Amino acid sequence: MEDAQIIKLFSERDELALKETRLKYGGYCMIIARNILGSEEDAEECINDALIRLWNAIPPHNPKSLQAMIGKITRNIALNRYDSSNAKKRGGGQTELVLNELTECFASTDNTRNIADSLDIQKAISRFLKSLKTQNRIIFMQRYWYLCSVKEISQNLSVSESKVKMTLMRIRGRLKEFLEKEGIDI
Amino acid sequence: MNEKDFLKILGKTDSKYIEEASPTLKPRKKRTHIVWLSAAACIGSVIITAVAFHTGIFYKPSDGNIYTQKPSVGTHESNKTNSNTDKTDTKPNKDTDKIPEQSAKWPIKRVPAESSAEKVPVPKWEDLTLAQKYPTVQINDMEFSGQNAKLTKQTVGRELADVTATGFIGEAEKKADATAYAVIGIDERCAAAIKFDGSEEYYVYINSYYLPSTLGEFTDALSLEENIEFGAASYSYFENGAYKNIEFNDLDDSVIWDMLLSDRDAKSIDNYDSHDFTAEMTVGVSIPLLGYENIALSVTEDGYLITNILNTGKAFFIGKEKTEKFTDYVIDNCTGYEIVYVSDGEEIPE
Repeated sequence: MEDAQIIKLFSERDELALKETRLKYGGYCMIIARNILGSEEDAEECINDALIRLWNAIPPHNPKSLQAMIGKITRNIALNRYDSSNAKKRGGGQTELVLNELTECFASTDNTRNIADSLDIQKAISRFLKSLKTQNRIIFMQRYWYLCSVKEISQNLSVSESKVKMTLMRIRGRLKEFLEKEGIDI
Repeated sequence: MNEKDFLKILGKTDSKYIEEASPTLKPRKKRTHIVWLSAAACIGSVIITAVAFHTGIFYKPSDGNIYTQKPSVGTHESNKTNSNTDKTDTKPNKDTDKIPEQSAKWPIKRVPAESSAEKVPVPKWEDLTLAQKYPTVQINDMEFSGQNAKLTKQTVGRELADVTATGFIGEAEKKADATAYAVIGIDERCAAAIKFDGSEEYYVYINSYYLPSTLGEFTDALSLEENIEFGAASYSYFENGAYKNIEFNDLDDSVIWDMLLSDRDAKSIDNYDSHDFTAEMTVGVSIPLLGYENIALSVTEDGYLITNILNTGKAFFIGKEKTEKFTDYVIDNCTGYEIVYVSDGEEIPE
């Protein structure tokens, strides 16, 4: 079913919307949540929660991209769930590895509380993403948005793992330079 | 800004970049072990659903073929004769280490298929209970999750703390003030009663991350002797291209206590998710006080007692001898039925 039809079902409060969303994007959400949490059972719970939030969000929201919206919601839920100490202790899928990689770019300080709400930083990161070549941007997003493993990225894009690692390392370096140049406190 | 902040900010990036990088979907091999049902999953589904379980064990016997499940059941003579079944003659023989040519023949019990969670109406925000609206609360630096269950005032103990419960509408966070109380007979690290300001009701909240060190600590923490109820035992095996699900209804509680829960020193493992447990025999358990109905207490072929009580997997090593003995006991001494699910008169293949 087309996204527009599914969104229409949500607007009409038809529960078929949930079934169709799960059918179309359940696997997609599973990848996101499982990469973050490392557990299929936890990921399934995230998807259930995400569907409920989606149900409560549409209407009033009328998303341009249903895929991106359910993906964002799932990712947020999974990252919040990861924040619990035990999820970290259990390994948490790719999250710990990804956070370790990113430490070279950031000072790991929490002096900028509520920073996620900063529109300026969001815009700066969008500009940074736009500046990247398409394949590099996909590699970067698959690693840091979808938290895919290096091996998965290499398989998805049919490139070697060493190329993925090298590309990521270069982009992280560019990101650090970019944020410093933009005057963003890192 | 730290690395976590960055991950969160990146989460709000343009949809076009998210779609552009969408990873390839790869089908995964069907998992055949217990599917845990958490409180979170219950939020959207008002029905109480039994924990779905499949008990598949992959093994490779000497003939070189990989079978989905070793039909590991007892070999000794049945101590109890059942007029409806001829289990002794027909049950698979685990010593042969092969799928038996002749299948186990249990009387068939046809049961209506339960509606799936997908068909369950999802309530609107305004129709949710307070525990569903605000499913998360921090008490003394521990995270507790709301159950869709209420407590009577008689089961509520001392006041623990003033707390703020959180929930979401879409991506917007919502908060509500409440007071946390102990639940009588339950360790304060495991569960709490939450009373929201302006409400007279007490909701059960569970700490899914509580991890006991031993089985004895776990049974004490939840006062299981007083609070747990046992249901049917279930066992499944693969035969002729399909799963056979056998249910045993007359298992005595004392057998479970003696054979599975008596080893108080049995150690808990602290990395449950890194193990790939497959349940061999599962007993349905309920803890009404905490809102649990028909969740799982299982034994594995490699000697573990596993459960999803408190929403996350917990495993205690009680020894292979005990788990095998329990499985054999149930098969030999309890009345079994092959469960066949039917929908509109048609059988649903497993």
